Amino acid sequence: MSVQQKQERAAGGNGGSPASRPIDVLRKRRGGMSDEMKAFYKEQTRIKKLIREVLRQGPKTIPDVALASGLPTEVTTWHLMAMRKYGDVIETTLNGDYYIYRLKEAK
Amino acid sequence: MSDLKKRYDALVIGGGIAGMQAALDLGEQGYQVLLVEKDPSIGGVMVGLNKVFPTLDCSSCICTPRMAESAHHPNITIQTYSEVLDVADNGLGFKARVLVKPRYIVEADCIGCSQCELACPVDVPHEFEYGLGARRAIYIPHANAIPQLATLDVEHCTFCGKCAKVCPADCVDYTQEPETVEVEAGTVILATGLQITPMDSKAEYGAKDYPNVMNPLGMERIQSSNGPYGRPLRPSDGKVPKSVAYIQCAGSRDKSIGVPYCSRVCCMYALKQALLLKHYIHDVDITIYHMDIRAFGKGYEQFYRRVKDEGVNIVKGKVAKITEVENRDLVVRVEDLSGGGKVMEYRHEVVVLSQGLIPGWTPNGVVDVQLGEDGFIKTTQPKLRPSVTNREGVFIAGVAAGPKDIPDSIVDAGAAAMEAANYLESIRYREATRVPAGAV
Repeated sequence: MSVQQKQERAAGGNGGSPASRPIDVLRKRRGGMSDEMKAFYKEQTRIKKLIREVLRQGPKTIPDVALASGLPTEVTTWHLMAMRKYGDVIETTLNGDYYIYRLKEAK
Repeated sequence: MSDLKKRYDALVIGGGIAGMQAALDLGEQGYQVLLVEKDPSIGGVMVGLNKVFPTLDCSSCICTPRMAESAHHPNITIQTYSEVLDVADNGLGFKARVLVKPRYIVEADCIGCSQCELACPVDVPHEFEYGLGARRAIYIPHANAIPQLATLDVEHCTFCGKCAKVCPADCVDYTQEPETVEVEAGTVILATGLQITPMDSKAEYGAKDYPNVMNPLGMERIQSSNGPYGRPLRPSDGKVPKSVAYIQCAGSRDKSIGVPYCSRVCCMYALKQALLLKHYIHDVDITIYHMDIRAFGKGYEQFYRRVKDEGVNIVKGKVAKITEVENRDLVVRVEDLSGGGKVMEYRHEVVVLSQGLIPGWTPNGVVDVQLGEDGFIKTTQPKLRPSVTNREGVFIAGVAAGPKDIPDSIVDAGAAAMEAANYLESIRYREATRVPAGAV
């Protein structure tokens, strides 16, 4: 794609006013976020925030994170592993049959 | 958006190991091949497996060269994230409509750097990890994906625009829309692969409610070093499991769930996974509950004996029910025929259902080919020409025709490619319409 084509695309083909940005065009075409998606995203954000707050208090196993956050363990496992995949959480040592996890920002 | 040519010698539907093999066998003979795959990457199920039986080769290590070869072959065009809508006769061959779904990125500019994925705020259950792990709304399917391109799942997009802001190649394009393209081909090969019997087929096994009742392909992923957990851990709480059960014939040989046939590979994949778990977790206790152990292939019986010798318990008995107890452990209720025929209950930390194989796709409404009683595409001469369908010029390869393992799928694909090549030559297609290399 040429530089000119990229500029035109970025401008939404309509002078680049905020109302015509490509992301706004896509949002409008899709009718915005569905209620289901809004609820999904809100809940996910809440869960990840909870897990971060608990791990800021110190490294923990998944059952300990679940206990401290009040989250079900399987929900904790899924979200903590997602945070691990994307670099927010690091696996450390084995404690019995459970690994201990810490926040990457913690030392 | 799409730069597909108008005409190909062969259209291969399905980019798994059978589809890739058929495409390569045709491409090597000089035929122009279009390989259409519905997922964002070729590779099918095989690229997500941990190791293969009985050699214990790394599955992605032997699959990715075929993927690369298919993608770079001068005579093969791969068209991923696309679906064939219909295939019709057009006198000289077939005319197909292909739906090219928008990735919302400019493919030629994307460098696969994953910056968009890292910036995206939404975690979504990852299909490649069978829901055990996460991806983002904009994502690269996995490290071995070909093409290594980002795809935006607009159903889970919050329209925050962060992906476009961070993209160093400035290739996010929110203006893309689905596109339907018409192509012509002299012959068609159906290599549409498999899916496993739905996990909730038998309510007695509790897969819907118990997180530690596992999908066998999910177990492949957690055993993989690039899997969702990085090591084999229990889905409910991340515990290193010390007692694992495999339930054979969980999704096959069972009229009550509509799968009366044997799926051929389940015994072997269970044995393989059990052996590998023993290697990864030295003190794990593993039990395989079976009706029969079917180790039919070359080296398979020897593999079965090796697994037994390495301490995996093999119990003859069809499991009737699985119940969850405290700590999300599971109790398996079984008539233990190895132990005198008593009804016993055994406790385990993880239970893997060895689900069967069902067709990955239905041709209904797309290609007019007959289906067998088992739901797979029917081969009209199963003994002597197992790639031939009832439709002239349409051939099948791999699990699209029925359950089989990887070697048989590859042999099948070679047979289908040969049938397709013979067909192209027999109708003097080459003289009339064969597309020379490099033609537009």
